[in-house]
Amino acid sequence: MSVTLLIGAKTDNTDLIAKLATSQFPLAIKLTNHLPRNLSLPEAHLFLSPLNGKGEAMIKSFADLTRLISSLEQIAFLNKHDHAVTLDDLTPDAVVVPVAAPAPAPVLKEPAKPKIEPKIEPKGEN
Amino acid sequence: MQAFTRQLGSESGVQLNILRDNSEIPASVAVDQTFGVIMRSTRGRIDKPFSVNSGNVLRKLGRGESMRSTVLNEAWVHVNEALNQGAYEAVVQRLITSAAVIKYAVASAGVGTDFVFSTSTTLPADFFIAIKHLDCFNDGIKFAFHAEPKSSGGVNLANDKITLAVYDSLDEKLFEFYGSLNPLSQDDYGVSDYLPDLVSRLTDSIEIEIGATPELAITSDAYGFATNGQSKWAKSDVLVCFEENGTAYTSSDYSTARAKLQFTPFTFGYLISAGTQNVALLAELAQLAFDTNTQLIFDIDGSLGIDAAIAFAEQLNFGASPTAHLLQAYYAPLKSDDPTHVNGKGFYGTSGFQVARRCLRNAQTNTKGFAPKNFPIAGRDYPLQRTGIVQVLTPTDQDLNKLARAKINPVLFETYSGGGRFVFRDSLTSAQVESSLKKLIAVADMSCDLDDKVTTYAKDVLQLPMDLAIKRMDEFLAGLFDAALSAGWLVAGAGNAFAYEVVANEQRPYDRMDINYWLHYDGTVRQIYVTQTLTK
Repeated sequence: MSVTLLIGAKTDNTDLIAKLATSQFPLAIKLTNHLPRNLSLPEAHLFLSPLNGKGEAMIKSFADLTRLISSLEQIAFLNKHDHAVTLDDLTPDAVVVPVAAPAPAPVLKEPAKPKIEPKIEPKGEN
Repeated sequence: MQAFTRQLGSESGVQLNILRDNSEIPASVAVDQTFGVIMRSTRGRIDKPFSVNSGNVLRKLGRGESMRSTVLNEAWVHVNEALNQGAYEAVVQRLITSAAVIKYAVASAGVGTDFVFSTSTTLPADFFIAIKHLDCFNDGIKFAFHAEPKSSGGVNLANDKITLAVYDSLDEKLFEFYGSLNPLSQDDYGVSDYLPDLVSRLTDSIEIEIGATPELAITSDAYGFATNGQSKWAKSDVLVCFEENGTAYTSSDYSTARAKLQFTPFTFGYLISAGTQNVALLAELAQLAFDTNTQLIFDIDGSLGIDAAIAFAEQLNFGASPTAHLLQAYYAPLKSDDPTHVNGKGFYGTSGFQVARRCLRNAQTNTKGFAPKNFPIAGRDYPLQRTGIVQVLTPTDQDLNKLARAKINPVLFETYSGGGRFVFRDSLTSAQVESSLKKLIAVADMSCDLDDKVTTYAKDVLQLPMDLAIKRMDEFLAGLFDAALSAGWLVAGAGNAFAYEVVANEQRPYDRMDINYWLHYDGTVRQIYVTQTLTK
């Protein structure tokens, strides 16, 4: 399932970052800059223009992603911005392919069983 | 017999008091030739900072890994380049995550006479000897031990004295110890030579644990000599007993590393970023610069364009720091050969080279111990000493203006008399000032030095009687500022080159002394306007 991180000066994304640890890497992400200034991110090879500038990057490993997020958190903190950047994991959600229902097996008519009366054994007296 | 006694009672005689030393002159050590760095490396202890010099850098920090595996390896290039180009020492705090694990390297008795070597997070029940290697080599260590034959009445006996050697993965010997496996053993001077005691006296890089068998049996593979006369050693293969477990550093990892570097007993005169582009680490280094009044020389990625480089510097918001003059940005849009030859041609920051040249300059002091810090490492005399340099962009005058306004010092090709060279084109601090001495790196350098000298001496006079402390401090400052004046650091501005006062505080005259000084430093020529006028 894809993950979206809202990164700000006071946000805590620990749980969502942990969720990203199980993603398949390299991981395609999209970053949206909400700051009123350019954002230069050499770690992701991205340059985002102010106020809704977007860019996509391919992140090689979870370690690279963690360090990128720590940079973004710090930028948000240094600029005292509550929602500086949005990070979207571009992994397509797992599409649930409906499994074709198996064709109903032909119902075979069982031959009528002869009705047998249950045999009741007499109880012993021991 | 001597003619005196140390303590005279009522008897007649001569008492000689101990030598009283009033001759001490405050002397600076090589603090300003040393730099601090927080970095990822493949070797080095993780619990506290350690010092590295050009002689032991490969042993202590490893042989360097390609930057293709991770860009974090650029830091190793910087530290090596700095130590080879003039820095006396580096104080390194290694970056790790909380997942890093140090294991024991263990030798256990195997089947028959052989020893079995392994790694383990806990001590196995049947171990013979175990080593905890706190220098944490990613590439592992080897260890070996041997006991000399010990005989009594011509009969060989088991021996508790062994020689223990520890090697790196390439068989370079790191340590050798000779001691006993017996906890009660003592040497000829009555000092314990039990191996764990002996090793703890010699180094803090190794911890030894001894198992339940306090001797080597005569049938052991590590006892005595082989049939060819060679000593028999039980030796392990490479044991990887440190697991780095990734480089997913979080903000708290950087913060922990910063705190360790701040409180280390090692001293350093500069901090470098060593090429990191991680904003969280740069922010921690900036905080450390503030806390320790130490200049931080940091890189902006040379692969960025001019606008991206400026945006990177601006998003750091370093100009808002009260000590912005300590933060100094360098931007080298240059591809060059790797100065350590581990990697191919690429973008390598110049913070390591810059700090090396500052350290080398600081080593050249005058008779009063003052280095020429009024000469910034910039311009014609300090070319970048690398091979295969290619400048990937040529900034226009407007670009250079923008870089200067963003307080970024570009490293570019410039032409001078005697030829062109790649140089540090400017020497600006991150201080957001237009016309102030605070904008000049040379002033930051001199000001930090004088602050260090004054605070160090002030600490020396702590706990002295107030009157004596004021007198000594006053004499010290008079000599210090006179020497700074004669070294060319200070010049007369609108008023005197310097003024100072040392007084007991008015509110708390019994225990607080106030020291104030006003200094006018010499500036640095950054701009020259030339006009030729034709006359009749």
